[in-house]
Amino acid sequence: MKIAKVTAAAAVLAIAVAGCGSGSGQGGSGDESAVKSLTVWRLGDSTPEQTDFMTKINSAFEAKHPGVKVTVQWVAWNDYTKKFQNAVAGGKGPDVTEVGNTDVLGWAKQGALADITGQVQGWAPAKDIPQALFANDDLEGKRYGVPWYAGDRGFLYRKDWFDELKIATPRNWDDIVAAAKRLQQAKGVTGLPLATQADATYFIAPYIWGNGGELATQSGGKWTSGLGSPQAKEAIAFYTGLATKDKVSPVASAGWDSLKTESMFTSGKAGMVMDGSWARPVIEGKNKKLKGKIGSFAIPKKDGSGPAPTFAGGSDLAVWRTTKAPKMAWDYLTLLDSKKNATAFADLTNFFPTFSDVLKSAKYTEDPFLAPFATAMSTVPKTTPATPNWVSANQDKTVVQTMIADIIKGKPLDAEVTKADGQLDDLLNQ
Amino acid sequence: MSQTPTATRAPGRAFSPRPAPRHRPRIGRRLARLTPYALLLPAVLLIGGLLLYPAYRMLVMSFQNVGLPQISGVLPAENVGAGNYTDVLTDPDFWHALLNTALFAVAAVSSTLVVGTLVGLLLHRLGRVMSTIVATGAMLAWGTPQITGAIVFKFMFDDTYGLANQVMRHVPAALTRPVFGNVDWSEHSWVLSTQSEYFLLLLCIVWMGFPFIAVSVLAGLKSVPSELYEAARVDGAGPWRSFWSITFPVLKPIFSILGVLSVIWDFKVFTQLYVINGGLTNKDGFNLSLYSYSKAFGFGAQMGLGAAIAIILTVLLLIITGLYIRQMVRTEGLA
Repeated sequence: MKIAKVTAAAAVLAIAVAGCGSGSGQGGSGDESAVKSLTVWRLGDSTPEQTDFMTKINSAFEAKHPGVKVTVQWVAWNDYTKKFQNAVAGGKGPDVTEVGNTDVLGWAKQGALADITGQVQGWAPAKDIPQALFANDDLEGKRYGVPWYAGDRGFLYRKDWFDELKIATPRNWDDIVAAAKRLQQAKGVTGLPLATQADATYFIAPYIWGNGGELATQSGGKWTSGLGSPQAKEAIAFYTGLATKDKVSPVASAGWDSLKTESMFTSGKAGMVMDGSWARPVIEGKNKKLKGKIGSFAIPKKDGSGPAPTFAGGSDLAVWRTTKAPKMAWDYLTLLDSKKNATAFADLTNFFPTFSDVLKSAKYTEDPFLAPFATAMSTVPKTTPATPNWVSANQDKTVVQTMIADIIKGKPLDAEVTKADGQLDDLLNQ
Repeated sequence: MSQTPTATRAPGRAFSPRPAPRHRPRIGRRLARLTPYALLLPAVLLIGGLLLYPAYRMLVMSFQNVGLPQISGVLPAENVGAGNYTDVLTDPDFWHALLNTALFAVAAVSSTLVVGTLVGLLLHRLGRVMSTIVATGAMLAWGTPQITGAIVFKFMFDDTYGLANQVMRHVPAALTRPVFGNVDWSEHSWVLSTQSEYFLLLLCIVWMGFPFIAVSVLAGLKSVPSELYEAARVDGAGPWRSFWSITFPVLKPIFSILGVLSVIWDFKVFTQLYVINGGLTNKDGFNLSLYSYSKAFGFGAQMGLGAAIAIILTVLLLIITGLYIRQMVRTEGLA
């Protein structure tokens, strides 16, 4: 029998409402000896390497806290908004969680995360994390998260095909188009599949920034969208033109996210893809034939005068507001984010640790695959507009993504950019 | 609530056709009178707890400003009067979703009924072995969980890996051009335009919905006396004529019920559309259910707004089914 979905949803809500009275306790009694389990949410795929790593951390923690059992739950990136939302509504969250670094402010505002200002002050390694990376964690004078790892996006390409076809590493926008066309012709694959949904904003942003544009700027407490500037418009025209003009990605890409473009690269159906340094181990794990055949280069500026500023994406760690064991949760968090463990984790996943002293080591600047990413990140790492409204504008209203998708579907560029520009102005100043 | 026979024949009436048993004590009589209500109680409690109370909460919520802070108890819920309703009714997304919902319901109900009836007629004609095979196939489609079916359809119609595009590539362009226009089938997306997305949804819903219609029609057909068809054949009626002159009139009550049920089901499709639409990013593809869900559970969780949309959807459905049932009762004297 089909029962009204809305009614079922209402039933869930009703239960949530009924249960909320008991769920809002802050657990501040101080005595945590009765707590025998700790739940940790990790975002992304549970590859064997990642699970091994977490198991090691957990045993170290359990040895320090006898009788406590740590459970790690894996939450897919694309599902995580919903999972957090349900947890906040239902009062059943984890104790410690990973959070996308651009989303910390949004979740803090929704009441999901605990205020850890005091704990961070007493934590020595914090002084080696750049203040810029903490910008995403501070809301109204309180701190809600700690940077754990970071990374940026660039190009991954098929080294074997580039060698075979004698394509030089692209240094400017024209090179990218030429390389993609050549791959498409010679290999019968998609030259450069474009992501337009989900995290697509972070793929188009470097083109805008590298061209001297901005997503949005703040002055006097008011945010102004930068999408309508000529620099930004030129970048948007280039990005969408890859599909509409150069045809190195099909019109169907108006419905694609980066999981899809990555899967196309993984299955050998694409010659290049824009992705993070962290994607390489994932891709090689899924398709062993690509081991050693993946090269990388940074997203260039239009004229080739260097790498474009990229978005420093990554994850922070936070304590869930309703945890019954805030002390143990903080203890776990600092174990996971110790210099040793955070670096080990970053190396495992091809991300970068956030400690500036560790970042300067030769192992990042001299690795041929990592160096383009490391260089781009060390030039001018950018973050998205630091306002809780950004999350809503980017994740719920998907202003930039809808703009890109609609232009690729064939709507006029000028009108779409003007529309998105106005929407962003409104949404950021709510 | 209909009364049970025990309740109508209340014992102890002065002129009861059946004499009340003289030896039954008063308490027993009272108990007997209460029995039907006692038997109804579990069902009432269940429906009350699982359906009526949540529905009531939803109604209350639709007049309040409810978000995550209110649900988790950080802030109290404020009364906003009809504010949620005016927000919804002035939102162009709502009217777009309503249009999608209504057009889809019309297309889906008629297609499901036609396909289901045809398969029902086919099953009636087939021999034992073939009808078992066809019926098993149909039952499998019916038994497939909604989410599984939707994922399979989505994958079959995937732009890069899907079977549909591989097949279409081998169909001569002369055949596909009149329907689809000039399409490059190598990486054609079936979900980019709203029409195409709903076409995919239609296939999925009809595939999952026709077996129920087919089985109901078949059950009805079994009860039609075969003499009627023999007489029709003697009079020279072809299959088309005998369907409209015999089968349809005899089965009309069944079609009426199936019609109401299909309208209710197809008006509030959720699972399949959620999967085919790829979540909540593509607002052009929303129907009312998805629109309501996106407001209540999307980022920013405006649950009061979501509740208001759900109430509007419910009222719309009640009006449509109410009109339909009234029409049925009028024309056929059917209760």
